[in-house]
Amino acid sequence: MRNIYRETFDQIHASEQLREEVMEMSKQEYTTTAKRRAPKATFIAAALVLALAGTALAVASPTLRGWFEQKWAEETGGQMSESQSLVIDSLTQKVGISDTSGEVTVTVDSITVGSSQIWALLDVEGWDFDQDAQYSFNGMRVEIVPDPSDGQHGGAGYGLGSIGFTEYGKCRMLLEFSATISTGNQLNSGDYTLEIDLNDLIRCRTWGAEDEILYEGDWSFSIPLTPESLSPVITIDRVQVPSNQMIWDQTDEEDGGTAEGTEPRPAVATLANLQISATGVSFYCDGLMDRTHATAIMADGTEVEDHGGGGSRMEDGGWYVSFDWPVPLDVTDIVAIRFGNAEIPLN
Amino acid sequence: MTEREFTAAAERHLDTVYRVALNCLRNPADAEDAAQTVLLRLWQSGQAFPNDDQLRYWLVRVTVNVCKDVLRSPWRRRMVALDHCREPAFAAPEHQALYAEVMALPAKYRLPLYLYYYEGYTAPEVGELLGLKPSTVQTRLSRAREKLKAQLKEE
Repeated sequence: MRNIYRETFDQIHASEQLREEVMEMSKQEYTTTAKRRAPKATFIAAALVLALAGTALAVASPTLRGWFEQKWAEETGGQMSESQSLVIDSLTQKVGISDTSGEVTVTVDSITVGSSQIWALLDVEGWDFDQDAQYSFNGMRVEIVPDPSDGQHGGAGYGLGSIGFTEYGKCRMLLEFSATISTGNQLNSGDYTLEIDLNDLIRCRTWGAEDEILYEGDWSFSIPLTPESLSPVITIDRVQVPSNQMIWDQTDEEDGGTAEGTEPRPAVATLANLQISATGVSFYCDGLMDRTHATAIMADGTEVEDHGGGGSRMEDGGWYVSFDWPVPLDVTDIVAIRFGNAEIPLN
Repeated sequence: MTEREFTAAAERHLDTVYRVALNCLRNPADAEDAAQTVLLRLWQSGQAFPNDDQLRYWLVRVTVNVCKDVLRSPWRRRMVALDHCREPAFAAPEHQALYAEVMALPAKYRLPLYLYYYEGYTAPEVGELLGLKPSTVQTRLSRAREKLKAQLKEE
């Protein structure tokens, strides 16, 4: 068995592109003007030092705003601006709804609602938590009602995990939810309800080992998403970006057929209805676009890269694509969007 | 770790890191993202290793942890990737078939299989890397072999 297994995996290699990027790592410098992106490891180490020093910020009783500030620092290496904080405050609503199953009570403390993303802060009490451990729920259903994608695109991503503990011993968890929505819809328009079902409190184990079910129970919430404020959306009707894909021009033959040219040329991808909001960017494209990240370039040069996204194929063969920002952004402060090497200024 | 040492380490171990990540995540694009994160951590750690085996052990361990974070995150690609599939291609059909069978295994079998049969770690060492008892590793290897036995030849 070993021989054929080894022969097979001998043929698997990292791509040349990755190899080049890795070799360049040691040569890159991080400047404050070009790219404010402190190494994540460095920031996390600094945060741990602060926690150990017993400063008030630390990771005790984390709030949504505090979590966003920490996330911003991780992503950009800088401090969140006041305007950024105000955007987050404007999108955040206090909830205070609880549900109890047996001895364990879960409370939705507050939520931050953007155009396509929701962050919910939950408190769990009634269990003797180990503050060195990670906790979550074994089963969960998170849904927006009615369906904001109008059944057109479908799909949503969400995750839930502990981020700290309050001074009273409650486990504080963060639910992150990203929805695929139809053009023109926004989750914070006042038309939607967030439904959350949680089952069985668990202690998370290291990879490969089974999570431990601590308490069997069911907790449910139905939270109207009230429009504290609608975040502005920048729309670009149509833009073209270069692609690394090659295409052959076709010409009509005299016999009614088509012939391909002998020389390929670089393709150009067309993006339509590009929408940039506080929580993400979405667009339709013709399938020629390279797989890449989306980066928001802020007025002070800070760059914020997406932390997830995807696409779904449309009936006409094109794609609907969306990317999510790691934290809500001040849209009025975004000066350009970059996809790979193609930068689109926002005038 | 000097730049030269890092470059040499990356040359020697990038494929290992990538293969470990591929066995964890199954998706080549996610595996490349994870591999890049791991190598960046190596560079930024500034750590020195007494020998290459310890460096490799560190890299495998960090890769597993990075992949664990990816698996827990909702921010993986939700739907179909835009580019063409970058799955590995094999000249020999038996290798193609084996790869497909291995990738079809549940995640908890793929990584012990890779670490044991390719990287040459013993069952206790695989257990240390993954936080599993050696007996659990042996059980998973045994079950993986059962599932693959139609594709594998006995030595």
